[in-house]
Amino acid sequence: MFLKTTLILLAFISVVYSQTDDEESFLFVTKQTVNRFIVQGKELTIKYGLYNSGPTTVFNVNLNDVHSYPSKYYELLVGTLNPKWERINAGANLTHVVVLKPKESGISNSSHAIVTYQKSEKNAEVQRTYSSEIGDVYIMTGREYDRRFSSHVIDWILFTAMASPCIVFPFFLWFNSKRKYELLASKDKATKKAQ
Amino acid sequence: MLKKIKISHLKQVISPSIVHIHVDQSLNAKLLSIYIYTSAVVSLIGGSDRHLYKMFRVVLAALTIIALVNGETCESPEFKVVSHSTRDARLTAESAAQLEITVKCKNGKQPGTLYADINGQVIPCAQTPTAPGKYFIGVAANTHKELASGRTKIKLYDDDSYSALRKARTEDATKAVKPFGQVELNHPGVSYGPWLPSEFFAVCTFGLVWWAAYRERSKILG
Repeated sequence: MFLKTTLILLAFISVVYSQTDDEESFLFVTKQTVNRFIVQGKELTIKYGLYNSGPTTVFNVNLNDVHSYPSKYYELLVGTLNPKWERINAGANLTHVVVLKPKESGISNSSHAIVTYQKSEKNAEVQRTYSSEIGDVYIMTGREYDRRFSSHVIDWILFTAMASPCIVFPFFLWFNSKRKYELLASKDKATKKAQ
Repeated sequence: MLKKIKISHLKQVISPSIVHIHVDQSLNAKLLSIYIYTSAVVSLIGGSDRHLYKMFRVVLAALTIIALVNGETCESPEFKVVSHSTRDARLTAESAAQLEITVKCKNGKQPGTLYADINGQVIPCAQTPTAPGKYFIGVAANTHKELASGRTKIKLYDDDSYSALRKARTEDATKAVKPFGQVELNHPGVSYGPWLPSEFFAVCTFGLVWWAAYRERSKILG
């Protein structure tokens, strides 16, 4: 009986202690790409979603993803890879969009973004969290993408130019002979009529 | 006894003003020094005349607050916006847009934090340590249709107007809050590729050629 009550009491205490984490906020960061295909020389759009779960505001949020996309392999077109927000209120859902252009094709790995923030304005203790990662991606060359998706107008024009001798040359022969024949036929009619 | 009174009066005057000052501005520093000096003089001269002293204090406090307000906020801001959005619907599965706002104030100050009102939600703008005058806003939509094409107006709020917005409880009060500025997001829409593919035109052209030849052939044979 005594043991039972002690165990129950210990269970209650542990539950109470574990629930103190509800007082603090936690920032969830997701990193996704909106692209269906990643193509060399075409835009790669990455969106970072930040969600503040929990009841309090987080301060001094800093997202650093410069190491995932070195400027040797990626060109930054729009946005910044190192944004910061001074405060994110409780329950707020933010998006940050970055547009890059891959310079090289092949398999590439983009790792987690590192996010640091402070849980309170006065306490300078910095909490560090990582975003989700996209992982290994295959960057296809521009030619592969064009083969599937470009409008092929130039290809058709070239095809017509190459196929036209096969069509135009026999047509020309036929047209000449037809004209000659019709000329002869009309001459014959004229002589017959004259007779 | 007289000296003690003067020092305590001085402390009473200085401590509230220190609570209010938090950002440096040369104008504010000058005004603060004027404030302290004048109130020190007043307390020295009219130590016992409480009414005059109170009046002076109120007037000086009002002047300081006005100077503080004018010195810190950004006046008549100019916005330069670069907006970018996903245009190709075959390359991307969802739509996303990003606005890069550069704010220029007449008095050379930066607004601090800016908040943007996107689709009813007010979120803070991102800044970057490498480019201090730029503010970034990102908008993401789950489907291509959700991101409205054309120009969408986005209202911007700075710290003061944002706190006024948070305090507003009713719908009318929320609308009455004057935003810091307004920018536009220009989304030209997504394209799914050309309406008619080039193969269609190729088939039509060659079909016509074939039909003409067939007609001639049947004329000759028939």
